[in-house]
Amino acid sequence: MLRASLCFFVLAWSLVAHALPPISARDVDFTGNHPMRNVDGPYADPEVTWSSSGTEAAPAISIDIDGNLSVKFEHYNNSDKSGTGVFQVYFAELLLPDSTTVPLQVNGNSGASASVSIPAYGSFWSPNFQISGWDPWIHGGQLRIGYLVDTTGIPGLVGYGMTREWRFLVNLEPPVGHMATVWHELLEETTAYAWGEDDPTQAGKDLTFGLYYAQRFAYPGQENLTSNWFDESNSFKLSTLLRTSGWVTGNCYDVAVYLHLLFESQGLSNEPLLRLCQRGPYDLRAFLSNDICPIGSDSTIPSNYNPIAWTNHCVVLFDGKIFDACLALQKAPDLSGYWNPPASWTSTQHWYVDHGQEFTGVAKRFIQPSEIISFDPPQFNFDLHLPHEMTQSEDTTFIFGGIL
Amino acid sequence: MTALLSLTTIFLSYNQAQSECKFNLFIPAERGFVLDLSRHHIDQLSNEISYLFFLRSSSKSSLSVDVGLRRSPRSKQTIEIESDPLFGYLNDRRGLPSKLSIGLEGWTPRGVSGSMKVVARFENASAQVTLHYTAHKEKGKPRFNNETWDEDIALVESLARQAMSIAVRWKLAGVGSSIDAGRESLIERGYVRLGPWMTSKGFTVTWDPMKRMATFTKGNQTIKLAEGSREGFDGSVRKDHGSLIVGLNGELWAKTSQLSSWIN
Repeated sequence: MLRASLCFFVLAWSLVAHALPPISARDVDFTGNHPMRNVDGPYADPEVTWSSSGTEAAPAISIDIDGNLSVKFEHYNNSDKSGTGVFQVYFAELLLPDSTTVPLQVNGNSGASASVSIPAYGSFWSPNFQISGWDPWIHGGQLRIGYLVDTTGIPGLVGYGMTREWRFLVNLEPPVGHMATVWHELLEETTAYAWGEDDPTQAGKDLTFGLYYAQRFAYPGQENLTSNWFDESNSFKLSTLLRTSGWVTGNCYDVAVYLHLLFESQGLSNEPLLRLCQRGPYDLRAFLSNDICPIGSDSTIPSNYNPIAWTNHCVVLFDGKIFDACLALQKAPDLSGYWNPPASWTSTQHWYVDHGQEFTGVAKRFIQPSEIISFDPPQFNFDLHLPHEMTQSEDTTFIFGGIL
Repeated sequence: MTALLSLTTIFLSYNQAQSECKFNLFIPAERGFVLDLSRHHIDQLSNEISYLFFLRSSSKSSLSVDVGLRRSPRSKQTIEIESDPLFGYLNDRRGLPSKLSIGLEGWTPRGVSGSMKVVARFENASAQVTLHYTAHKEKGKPRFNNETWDEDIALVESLARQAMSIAVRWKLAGVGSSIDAGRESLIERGYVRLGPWMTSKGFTVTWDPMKRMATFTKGNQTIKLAEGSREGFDGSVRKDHGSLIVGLNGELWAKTSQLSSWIN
């Protein structure tokens, strides 16, 4: 009702006055939200800033489930009238992708107002208004806030009102580590993968599955063993990756570090874990993997599962469990059909579990000297009839030099 | 009176203040690559890297060229992985059209794939060129749009050799050093201009700008030397001439003590 009345006033005012109102909007500043950036650089803070060089606007803001968000608005009075007005935030809501809206609270109510001192020919900030009431799970939408500057008490000064909108992302925990200033692209990605989750482990599973099935990274197996997205000082080239659209090649380091960053964007502290196979024949670490379906291929097709020769494998370690978006396995640790990437598996479950005739996990056995045709270039003739055997991994944190 | 306006927040990217890449490389326009990013980065360990990033819209591929100077040691795990006799790939040259190595150690593509990457190192200086193709799905697997592999690998080799020269110049004369400073540092270290030196020995010269390879001919002898390599062909025999050939301002520079012994 209020909004309908206001629309009427706008129409009436614009038909009669034929001029801009003397009060105009300037800056908007959220507090409590997470620092954000995208591939081009940091987002503006205040989130909207008017300046002589134009407008800088943050295209999104991020808050976690338990976050305390407040907002204030700056305006400029381009008239000689001054006095005390009323600044009213009369609604806040979150518009979801299914076109439903979640009403948000303003200072704990549906709306709030406070007096504001309006100088002549000067700028003035509104008080802070607390915004709350978004759902307690990972999601995103369009934050809409409607406000009025009521100047009824200042004769001759025309008031002002506006509805503003921001892309609004609710993540699980405040982003951490390399994502302390969270990259918008990654936050959108993780929001899509883990939509609706409120549990860290389940969110981690969603991120692992989401990345595996994203048709983003493709691991071409033995064709490509060097990492593609690290520079010579071992920094992950996130900017160039995000600028490259579509499917790209990546090995387990690329996938694990990217997954590590996805976890961090949702505030899930984790580490990329390098699993080196213990030394075997020839004093090599080379091992034959289980039949794996590498990231990028369709894991529902049995012929996409093949063994690969590796010396090491990089994964994500979160809450003591392994999350591996680089590959899918046909069987779960209990021998049931799985056909998905390992997520929240124990270290042992991920590496090797002996079930007698069968085994589960990533590592099947050492590569035998008789299977090595050539060291340079590496060429093998795998004897797929050789039985599985227990090997052990030597795990260490994979330390990389940051992100570019 | 009150006005109600609706405003959708305008996306205006905010460019972080970062320095520009400290080198330039020329890519022929007909190759379709357009510069998208130019950056210079110094990390917390004072490692420096400059990189250029290009996009090619026609085949949705991307290309990056990095030149870096490392000032921190490699981690033990990195050294162990890179030196693995099965998967380490030191000073490989099989995947390059010239069949000559770049730098003292490095990696080259093993075969046609969804990406190609050349890594070349000279002590703590490095050059890296990576080209990524995108893919479409066929029978449940990604099939990369790499039909232009042969011409692309030639471009990547050319860029890698030029980038290696820049990396060596930075190592000798400082990051972002000028052509003149690079020339002085090369002279100080005993390098001479290869073309005039070979000409003085009676050789004629031809230049392959893609392979960055000079072919020197005198009578029955043909010597091929490539920018950024310490290898060359004396006839059909691959030989090591002991130091990298450095390109500077359109000329090749070399140490000639071992090359002298190649000349009949």
